[in-house]
Amino acid sequence: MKIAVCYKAVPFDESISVNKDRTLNFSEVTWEVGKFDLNAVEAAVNLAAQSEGSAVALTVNGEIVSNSKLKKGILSRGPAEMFGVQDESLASADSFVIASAIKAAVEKIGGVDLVLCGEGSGDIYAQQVGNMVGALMGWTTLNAVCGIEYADGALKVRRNVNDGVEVLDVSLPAVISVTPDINTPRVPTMKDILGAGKKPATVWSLADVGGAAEAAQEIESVLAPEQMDRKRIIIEGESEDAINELAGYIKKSL
Amino acid sequence: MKFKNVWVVTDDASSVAELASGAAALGENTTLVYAGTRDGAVGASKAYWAGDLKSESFINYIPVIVELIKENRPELVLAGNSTNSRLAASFIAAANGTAVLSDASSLEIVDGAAVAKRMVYGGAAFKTDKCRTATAVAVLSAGAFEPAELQPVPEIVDLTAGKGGVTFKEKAVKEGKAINLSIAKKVIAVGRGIPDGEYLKNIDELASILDCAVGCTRPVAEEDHWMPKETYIGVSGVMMKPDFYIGIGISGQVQHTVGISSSKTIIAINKDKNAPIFEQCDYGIVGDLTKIVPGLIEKLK
Repeated sequence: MKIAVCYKAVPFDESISVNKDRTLNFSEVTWEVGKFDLNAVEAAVNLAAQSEGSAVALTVNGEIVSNSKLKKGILSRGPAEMFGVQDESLASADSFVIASAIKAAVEKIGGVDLVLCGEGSGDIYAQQVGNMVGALMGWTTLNAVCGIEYADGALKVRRNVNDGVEVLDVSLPAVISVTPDINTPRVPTMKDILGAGKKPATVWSLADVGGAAEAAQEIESVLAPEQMDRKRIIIEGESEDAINELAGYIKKSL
Repeated sequence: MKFKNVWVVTDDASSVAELASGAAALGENTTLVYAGTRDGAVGASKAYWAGDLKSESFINYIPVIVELIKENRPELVLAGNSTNSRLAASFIAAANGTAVLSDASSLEIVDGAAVAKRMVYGGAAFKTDKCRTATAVAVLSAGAFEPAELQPVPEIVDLTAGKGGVTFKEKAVKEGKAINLSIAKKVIAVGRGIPDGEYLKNIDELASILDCAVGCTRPVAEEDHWMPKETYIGVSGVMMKPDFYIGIGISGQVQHTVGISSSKTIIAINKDKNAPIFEQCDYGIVGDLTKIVPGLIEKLK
């Protein structure tokens, strides 16, 4: 099988600060590969090995696509090659536009049997892009997949649904989004990291993949929540008096 | 202003009342697509039933649902936040050239357009998006609308599954009754500060004295597996509007606390006096929870 696994570089949550007007400040952010994507990469690399196929990594975003540290980071986790679509408009595009760009890139890569995605991106976490790629491509599409078995060219999966876990045979080509508990992502070794620098990486412009889809949504605002005023009465220690005092507050608040 | 036609799509019978209440608030006429128990459909003038899903996957009904919605062209589709409802929302959106307003904690109509608010960056911010297309599709997070009194559906049509590319083999149905933490008004949540999974017995005892539901942080459910996944509170988990919350052995990472930030009272028990939860609690105690919890049980029972 030829597998394309999608990933997104996201700002590390704790490196985002909040301005006085509640807007977010990204001036000091550090970037990382979305944590849910690592499970998809691990699944892709394992399935590629089992099926004697290959796994390539794919991302669509702004200039962070070309960041060499992140390129190396993703390739050190096992994919044989990296592809990106880079355009500043993609950095804040809605999931319809992102999925359309991924569809175009998958078609340009060619010969892909399976697209794997994580549960959601590490920043917006709409849990939509994987589903929408499948819907736009007209491929079999599954989300919440917590187990994938490959045998004789076919896939059998386990999928979390609200009343249990269903077992399904999946016809290919397919787009599958996996849950964080499907596997434990590998920690790259020094050898993996050194080898990653030698793997091919291709970055396309939006024009290279046929242009952008029309945006379906407009962003009105991104604002930190207003903090509620809290009493912040703090008791120290676990003495009987301290526990009595806390019990009093609990009774009063119930 | 209201939309004329709103469709509700969910495979989770327990979410019908809330979604249909949202549809009634935003539209004049509601049509429901649902699955699971056939009886008890409420809040719509007409409903389509996608079977009990005991021997078929909801995935194979999605193409049929997409066709129905294309024929009827509602201005708004509201989906639940379950796995299947979310997947259906994506397909409906793709077929209508739009993106899903995903995990909307609020949804309103502004100048004829659907405007939704969702949490982003691990809870650091709320993002407000406006839909620009003729059909808007939203996945509602639990608690977005209060369930209202709703009438039974007069007309129910049974759907036949189509081809979604999967073949159903089996389903392991979850044991025990479904937990719906999002509607609990009093809650105790535990974090990794508790000694081990066994210790939950003590927490349960305190919870039953105070008539609280028990929730947890994501690592307790997903890494330690001490509690079921449906019970973790915060980003990607349960969002709550409780009146009363006690966090035990919880440091107070924003990913968790956004799930309870609108609680009337927040109480924290933690041994680390620098834990962020003490910055945002009403009452806190810095100390060993294995001494404080039994002490509280003794005092409060």
